[in-house]
Amino acid sequence: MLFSLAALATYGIVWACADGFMEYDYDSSFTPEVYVDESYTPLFYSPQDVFYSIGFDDDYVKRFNDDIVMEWSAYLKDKITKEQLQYLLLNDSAVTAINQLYNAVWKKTPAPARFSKLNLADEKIKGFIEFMHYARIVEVSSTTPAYSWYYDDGKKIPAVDPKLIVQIEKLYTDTKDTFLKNRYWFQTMKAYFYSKNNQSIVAFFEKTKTSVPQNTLYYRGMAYVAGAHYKKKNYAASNYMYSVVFDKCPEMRVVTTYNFHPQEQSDFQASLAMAKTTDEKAALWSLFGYYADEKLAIQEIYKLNPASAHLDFLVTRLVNKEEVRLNAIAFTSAEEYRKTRKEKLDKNALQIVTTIAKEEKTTKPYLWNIAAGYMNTLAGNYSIATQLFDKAEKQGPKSELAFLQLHLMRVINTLSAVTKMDSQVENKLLLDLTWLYNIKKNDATFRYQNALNWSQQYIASLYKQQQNVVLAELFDRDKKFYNTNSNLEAMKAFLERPTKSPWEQLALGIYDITLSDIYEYQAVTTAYAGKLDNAIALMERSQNGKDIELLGNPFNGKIKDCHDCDHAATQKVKYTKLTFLKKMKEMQDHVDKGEDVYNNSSLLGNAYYNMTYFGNARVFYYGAIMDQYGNYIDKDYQSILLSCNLANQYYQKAFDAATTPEQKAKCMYMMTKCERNAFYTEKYHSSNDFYSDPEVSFLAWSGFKKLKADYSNTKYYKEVINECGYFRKYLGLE
Amino acid sequence: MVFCLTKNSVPSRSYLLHKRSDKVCTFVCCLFMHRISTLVVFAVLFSACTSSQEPKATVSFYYWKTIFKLTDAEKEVLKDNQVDRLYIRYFDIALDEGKAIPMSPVVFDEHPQSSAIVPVVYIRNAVMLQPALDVADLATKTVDYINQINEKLAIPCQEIQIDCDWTLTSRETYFSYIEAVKKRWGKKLSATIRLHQVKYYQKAGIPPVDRGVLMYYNMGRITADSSNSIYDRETAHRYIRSLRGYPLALDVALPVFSWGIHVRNNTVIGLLNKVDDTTFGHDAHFNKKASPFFEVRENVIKIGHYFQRGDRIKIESIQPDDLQQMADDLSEEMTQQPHEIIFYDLDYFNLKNYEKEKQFFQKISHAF
Repeated sequence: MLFSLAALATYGIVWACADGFMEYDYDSSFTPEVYVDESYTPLFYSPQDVFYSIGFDDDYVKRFNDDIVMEWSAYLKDKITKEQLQYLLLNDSAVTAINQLYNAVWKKTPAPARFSKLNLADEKIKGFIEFMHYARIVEVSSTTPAYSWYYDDGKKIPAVDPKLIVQIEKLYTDTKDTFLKNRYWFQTMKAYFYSKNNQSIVAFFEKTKTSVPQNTLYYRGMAYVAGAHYKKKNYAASNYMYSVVFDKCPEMRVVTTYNFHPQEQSDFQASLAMAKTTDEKAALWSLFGYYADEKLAIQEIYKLNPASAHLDFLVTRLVNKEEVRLNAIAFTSAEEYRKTRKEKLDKNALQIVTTIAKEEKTTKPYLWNIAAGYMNTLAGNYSIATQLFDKAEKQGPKSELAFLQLHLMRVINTLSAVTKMDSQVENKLLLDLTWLYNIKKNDATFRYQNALNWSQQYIASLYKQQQNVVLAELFDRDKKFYNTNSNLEAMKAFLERPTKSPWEQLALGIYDITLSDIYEYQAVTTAYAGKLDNAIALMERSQNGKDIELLGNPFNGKIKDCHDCDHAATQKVKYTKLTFLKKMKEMQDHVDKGEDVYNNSSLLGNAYYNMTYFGNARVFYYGAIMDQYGNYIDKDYQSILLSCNLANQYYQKAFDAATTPEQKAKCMYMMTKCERNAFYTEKYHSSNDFYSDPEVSFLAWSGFKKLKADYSNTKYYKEVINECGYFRKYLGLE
Repeated sequence: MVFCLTKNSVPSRSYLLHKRSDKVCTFVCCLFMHRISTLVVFAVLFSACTSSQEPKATVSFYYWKTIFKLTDAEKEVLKDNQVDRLYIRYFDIALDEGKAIPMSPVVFDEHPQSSAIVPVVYIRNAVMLQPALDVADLATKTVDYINQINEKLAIPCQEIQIDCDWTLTSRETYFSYIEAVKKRWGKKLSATIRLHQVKYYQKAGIPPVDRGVLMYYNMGRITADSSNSIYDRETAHRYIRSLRGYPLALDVALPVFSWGIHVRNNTVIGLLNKVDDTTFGHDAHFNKKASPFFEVRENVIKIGHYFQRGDRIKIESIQPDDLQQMADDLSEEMTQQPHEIIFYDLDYFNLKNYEKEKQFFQKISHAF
């Protein structure tokens, strides 16, 4: 049972609803793997999972498989092949073979062909077969059958027959071979646990525990006793025993943590009272630390035994919790960053970790020095942090991971101390940041991503304070940066400058907007202002943007806005962003000269329509700066991308120049589409919580009314009736 | 018109639109008028006929625990409220290594004495999203598994209910599964319907069942603020107007459960099942704050959880008045009176909050 089964299960629910999975270094820079024994790994701080890295412990059946094969292999030596041994020990379908072998030994029936070479007269082989025979019978009661579609199957597992327990216990008592005796002891324990009277295991354990070697089997047996106590609601004894197994049997650290489950405060106090040695007390505090309070646990364990290995994982949890909590606090200036960290850091935690580091009584002083160093960085004590990192460097393991971790800690410390950017600081940081920004992520262990992102934001905030808009933007992209023309021009000037310092090159290396993107952005926004000459000139300078092809014919003006249909339709001419603008310009020139005004204006109306969110040429505005690829258009761009005003003006111009009712009907309908889009924009698209399910899909647009009143005799009117359901509904036809 | 304004504290959105904009077209007005006229007609019919003709909605409960055994107090509530039908969760269907399997089947420690039992099967949506799911096979297995339980316990059974929070992507599979269950089962089939499935029924679809049960709870997100995720009237109002157009006959499921939300540093860190004000009200480690909160005064382990000083516990519960309000609001919006009100779930821990009135649940069901 979990300490808090419901709570942990809930994490699953709560986080399942959150957006996507983040890796651990999303908000952490302290990699616990650097310092701590692997048996503790699942117990690292991991707010999004029940257990770090593994999620859930599902190793119940296979946890000891390798050990079992190894031990029997050492016992039986070459009397049996490894493959045969593995089969008989681990394979579910080996029951038949085991029974046949058992009968061959005791009833002299023939052995199965697969095992014909086995010397059944050998005492050890005989002992093995007999043991397996009984072990497999017990196993029927100890393993849950998979859920099946037969109601009775999933319901109850048969309890171990008391007669079987007697037989196995007798074998335990009578067997002289210590290897077998130890294993029969374990089988007896197991058989008691899975019997109806499972509390008998307590007496058997008490009676035999001093005569049994304290190996893995012993602690596995003890965990059964803990389970029996739990069933009886003896939580104090149960938790006490689980803590002993946690302490002594590294393989069972995760499962015992999972099962440790005090219900009330008094349960934990009672368990503590049962603990006889400092190790036992420390183990109980470790589990308390995992579930409840790392600080208190560290202090208690440190008092009991500063060399306890349990301290290692607890201090990584403490540091990880602190940094994750602090990293969640947003900041807009470097000063604010330093101030909030200093204020919000848990002073008690800082004091505990710094004191323990100073005393150097633990087995891993480098872990405490680096942890204390990091916490002192967060507290704003940068020179103390440096001293602690220097010490840690001398003491630490020589692994690559340890080197990377220390380097990162130093970078965070150095940068956290910076209050102003100048060439001297830039030179000082250049090498470190070049390293940080070029780390290749080979595996997910080393946590550097948060530090990388933070460093950019921190440096940018300093530049911003110093009014250096270009470097601020290079280090931390601001989505609104290009909305200000002076920013845009400053960035262009910077990017067009032929020489750049190494620091500027570093900044440029992490920036994802190019000069081509800027020209493209300018060209597109200029086109929305109707300034086609300028737009063409700017687009021509966008090396990567100008030749991007539009998906459909941007001069189409259909009754229904079906982008996919337009994109799939055969297009004699494929327009690019640039050729599209040029064609529009040609049409504009015709309109200006009064040539074929109806046709040219209608086509320009279509072009300006298709350039909007509602049209078939959204690709025209797709680009790295605007970044409007989705169904929600940012407030900053709604006035251009959701506006059909320019289109409407040209449709009106076409309407005025139209000479036939058919032409006028068509213009009228196109203007109705613009009217509709304005309604959608005002009512739905401009609100933040709109998600594509409008309550009112259409109104009686003035265009509908005019179409009905003035153009009901046209062919186009009938086409609209055929294609536009809203119009049919408006007319009461459906 | 008068009906609309007096009955609803908030005028409908279309009404607001009508008042605000001259552009509102004939169509919208028509729709609006149509709605009003339906309401008026309904109101007339309702007041004219219901009291004497229509039988009142009956009371039922969901039983959602894995071991079926009723306490005396639970049996008494059933008797007092004339409950003769129980909806018992028989099993869940979930995926295990990609295969749909029955999970946590109910075990009967006693024979259910109610005259009618409706087995309920909860199917996780993930099952319906399984790419190569054989719906006919799963339907056969589902019905056969129910039959095995019924035969073993000699439970006569006229109806089964399927509970699944289907989505747009699983809709088609789920509905064909329902069809297949119906074919195999041959008797009455019902299904649960969530509020969002009512509101967006044109997209979400209507499951091909004889009746639906509107689940009128679990409306919001589980948050650290004072909102109630089980029931929030304002949220409910955003959905229930759609009930008028919902084409499937509906019964109603109402919540009677409570739970706690464990909050640390304004973040939800856990859910505390089966807790209410009494769990923390008499414990000196906790301070009662403005409802629905308790604050931890002193670090303590309690009910298997560790509470740290400064943590908050939000109790989300449903008061008798809330149920009355739900009944009033729903009966106004439902065009057909429900036959049955099913309370979720049958457990004395939940029922004790309503024991001031012996026939409280019946009173609620009669308010429909």
